[in-house]
Parts: sequence; structure tokens; C-alpha cells
Amino acid sequence: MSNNGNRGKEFVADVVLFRGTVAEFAGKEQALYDKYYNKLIAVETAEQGNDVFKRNVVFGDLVVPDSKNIEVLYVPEGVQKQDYFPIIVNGDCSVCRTLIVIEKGASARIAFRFVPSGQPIRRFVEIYLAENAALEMVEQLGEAERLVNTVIVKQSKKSRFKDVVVASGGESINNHKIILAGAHAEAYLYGLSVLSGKERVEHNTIIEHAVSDCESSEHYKTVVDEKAQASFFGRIYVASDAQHTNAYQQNNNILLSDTAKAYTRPQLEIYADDVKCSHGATIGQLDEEAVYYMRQRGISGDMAKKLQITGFIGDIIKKVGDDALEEEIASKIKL
Amino acid sequence: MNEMLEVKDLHANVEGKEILKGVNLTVKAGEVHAIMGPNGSGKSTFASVLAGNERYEVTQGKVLFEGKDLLSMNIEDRAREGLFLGFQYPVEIPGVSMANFLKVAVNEQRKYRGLEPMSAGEFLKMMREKSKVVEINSNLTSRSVNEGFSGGEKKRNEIFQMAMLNPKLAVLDETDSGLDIDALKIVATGVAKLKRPDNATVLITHYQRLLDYIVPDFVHVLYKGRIIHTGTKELAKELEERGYDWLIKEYDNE
Repeated sequence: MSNNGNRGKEFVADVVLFRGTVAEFAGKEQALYDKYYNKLIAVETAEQGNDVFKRNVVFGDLVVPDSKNIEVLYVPEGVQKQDYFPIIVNGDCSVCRTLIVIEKGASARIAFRFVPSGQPIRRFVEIYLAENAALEMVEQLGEAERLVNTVIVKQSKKSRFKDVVVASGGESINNHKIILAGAHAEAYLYGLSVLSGKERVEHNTIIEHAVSDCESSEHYKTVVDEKAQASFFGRIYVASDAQHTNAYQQNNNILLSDTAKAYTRPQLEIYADDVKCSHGATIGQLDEEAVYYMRQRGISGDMAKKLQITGFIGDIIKKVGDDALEEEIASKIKL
Repeated sequence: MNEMLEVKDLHANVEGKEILKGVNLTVKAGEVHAIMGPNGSGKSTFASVLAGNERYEVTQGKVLFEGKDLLSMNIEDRAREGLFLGFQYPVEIPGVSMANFLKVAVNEQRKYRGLEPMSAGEFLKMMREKSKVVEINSNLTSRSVNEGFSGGEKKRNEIFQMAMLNPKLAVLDETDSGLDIDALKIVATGVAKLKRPDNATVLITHYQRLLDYIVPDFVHVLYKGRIIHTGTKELAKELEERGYDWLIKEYDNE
């Protein structure tokens, strides 16, 4: 774990450029600080500070107090990192700031794992992908409680972003915004929430096609039992110049009890005329006929339900693209 | 005791309407019974009630399976005791692979009988062996259960599962419906291959053609919820030629 600004051999092995206070960061990496710090978040709020906030139409209350600490993840130009780099997000910071910069032609895979600590967490992640850069992210929320998780990504041309967000319980509000600012950029957002008890997980997404020839795809699935609640509000904005946009959105929910709730609201705001945009949402129950069929083969009712749910959520977990990580994620899901 | 199945005066309702009005049937090990009858007579209901489908309510009667009270068992226990239902309309189960589904089923049945679960290797070997019974492609096993299968493929898949689970009593509900001549031949030949002196088959069928391949010991005619007539394989041929009217007329006049 490096705390200095040295861009030597270490960064080929470790994407963590800096961990420390914002002031230290500004001092040690002034160029990066000036270019990137807080620019994306600032746009989402009227004024910063503990007492003032602006209600973001999709994200809701986005209170952004001063964060003392920041974690900067940086991949230099041309460097390709193949394996998922693990990072723990714990309650050490009640306000966690992360800045991720992937330079031209570089690529990285980062797996965030949230470890609950009893503290509320407000997390702000700003991500910049340069031309031809690629970032694959996994956010294992686990059963994180009192979490407001905001991720804003700005993509340059031909860049590629993928994020798989998995909640196996807890209480969180997840705001993800992607700005496709360069032609031929691609963004893929995948979400999975498996909730029971009184758990609540909210996903709010904004995908902004600012320029032409970009592609975005969102697929969020939830399994909700007992008195839990899941929600998905997904907004796609296509600017009038964003011709040849391909934007897809799908939200599928399974309710396992009479008191479980799923809210789904797609929102498409399209100003260009030569685009392909689609959205779909389903809310349903387990297929009783399938459960009967499996029971008639000697499989217990409980096991039949588990098989069906595992089958339902499997394709989202597979989007991670790493066997070990997928197994870890699957093992944390309570069925 | 070689009575595998004894059905005595079985009455059953669905949604408050009585469909089975006193069915009596005895099946011994090694036998093949065919149940025929016009549409609406209760053939599928009979199969569903034996399987334990919770939509049906048994109001009267007794069913003994190898001397045990079948009606007091839940669906999965009846299956584990060795009862297999070949569905008329097999359902699709997206996301659940054939291999995984069958592995769980085979092992749950083995556990019930006090056997160790099969190793992955043994299981794969058994799958390859049994897929030959209905000439099924081994790549089918990685596909989701029945997903995207044609009608014929679904019926073949039912018999493949029957081969894998090796039941004592197989109740096949219109396994021949919707099949073309070639598919029928494969399915029927498959069922015939699985016949042994220690198991039994009840074929619920509307048409006689399946019985050319699987020769029944007894042919029963189910009409308005009761078995009104029992004969041999010749009866099936006669029904094929003359239809049901002559028989039903006699019964209605009684």
C-alpha cells in the first residue's frame, strides 16, 4: 500500500496510488488533484458543506460533507491489469472518497468488498476513463447498512466500463451515473439484490448519452422475501446529438412473500431520432408449476425454490467474469 | 405381495368440481396398463392425483403403493418411494441446468433410501448411458430444463428422466400426444427398453398407436371419472376402429 506519489514499478503491481487526507493528496499529486478532484460530484449538488444540499431528481438527497480522507486508484497509460484487485471498504471513514483514473489504453479490474462496521457510510466515487481505457468493477455491498453509495463515471471515446453491484441484504441507497462523453464508449451496469427480513436496497441510475455511437446496457435483478423492499429507478438520457445510440435496460424482480415489495421505474428521455432504446421490467413470483415438477422428481419444496432462485440470479453473477470471485459472491447470498 | 398399486374407490375434486367418481385399479409389478377414454373423462386428473398435485382434493378412497398409504405422502416423498409422472405438458425451468436438476433429484432419492450420493464421475457416466435410451444428445445436459425444447424433445426428456430415476411405477400422461411418427417411435421404444419384471407402467393415452410399441397387459376405459370397462390389447384396436361411442352408449344405458 503506497502513500507516496512515486510512479515507479510499484504501480504495475498495485493500483493504489494514494491513501490519506485530501490536503496531502493535493500537495503530492497537484496535477491530478487540480484536474479531477470533486469535479463530477460538484455537478450533482448545489453547494457543498454539511448543512446545505440539493435534492438531486434521481439521486435524492445528496449531502456531501467535507471528506478528510481520499483513496486514489490510478492506472498509467497503456498498463493492463488482468486480475481483480481487491479493496475493502470499511466503516473507518464515515465519508469515503475514492478517485479512480484509468489513463489512455489502460485497463483494470477492481473488486470492492464492503465490511459493515455499524457506522453509517457515505461513499463518493469519481471515475475517469480516458480514451480506449477499460474498467471492470465489482461492488460487493454484502449486508452493508446505512450506506449511501454514489458512483459517477465519465467516459472518453472508445472506453469501456462494467460494474456489477451485489447486495446480499442490508440497507443501502446506490446512485450510479455514467456520462458517455466520447464516441464509441460502452457502459454496462449489472445489479443483484437478494433481500429478506426488513432489508431495503435502492438502485438509482442515470445513463447520459452525451455524444453519438455509444452503447449502454443495464440489467438489475432482485429477489425479495418477507418484508424487504427493493427499488430500481433507471433514467436514460439521450442528447439530441447522440445519434446511433444503443441503450438497453432491464429490471426483473421476484417476490417470495405477500409483504415483499419491489418498485421499478424506467425513465427514458430521448432527444435524438436515430437511436435504439429499450426498457423492460417484470415483477413476479416463483413459477409454481416448476416447483411442482421438481418435487415430482423427488426434490424437496425448499430445494426446488433454491434451484429456481439460483437459476434466476445466475446470469448476473456470471457478468463478473472471474470464477473465484463469482463463487465468493454466490456463497454470501442467503437463500 | 406383488400388488404394486391398489386404487380403491378414488374420488377427487378440482376447484370444487368432482372429476374422479370412484376409480378402482390394481397394478402388479411387471405389468403395463393402458388407460384410455374420451377427453374430459379424468385421465390427467387421475395422473395428477397419484402424483399428489395439491390443486386436487381427494374426497374419498384409498391408494396403496407397495402396501403404503400413498395419499398421506407429500409430492416429493411419493417420488422418492418410486413413483414417476411423465407430464403431458412439461414445464420450462430457465436457469436450472438439466445436469444440476437431475443430480439433485437422483441424490435426494438416494438419500431417502439410505444410499450415499453419487460422485460427479459416476453421475456423468450414468447420464451418458441413459441418454442413449431416447437418443438424446449429451449437450442437452448443459441446457436449462426443457427451455427452448420442441414438443417432441420435451417428451423424450421425460423418458430420459425416467431412465435416470429408475422408478418402480411410471405413470405417463399422454406421452404420445403431439409427436410425429419418428419421435413417437423413439419415445415408445425408450419406454419399452425400461420395462422390467420389477417395475410397472401406467400409460394414459388417447390414441392406440403408442400401444403398438409398448404392448399393454390391460386396457382400461375411463369415462366420466370411472373405469367402465377393462380389456386386453385387442380392446385398444377396437376403440381405434370404432371410437368410444359404442362402449359409452352401453354404459350410459346401464
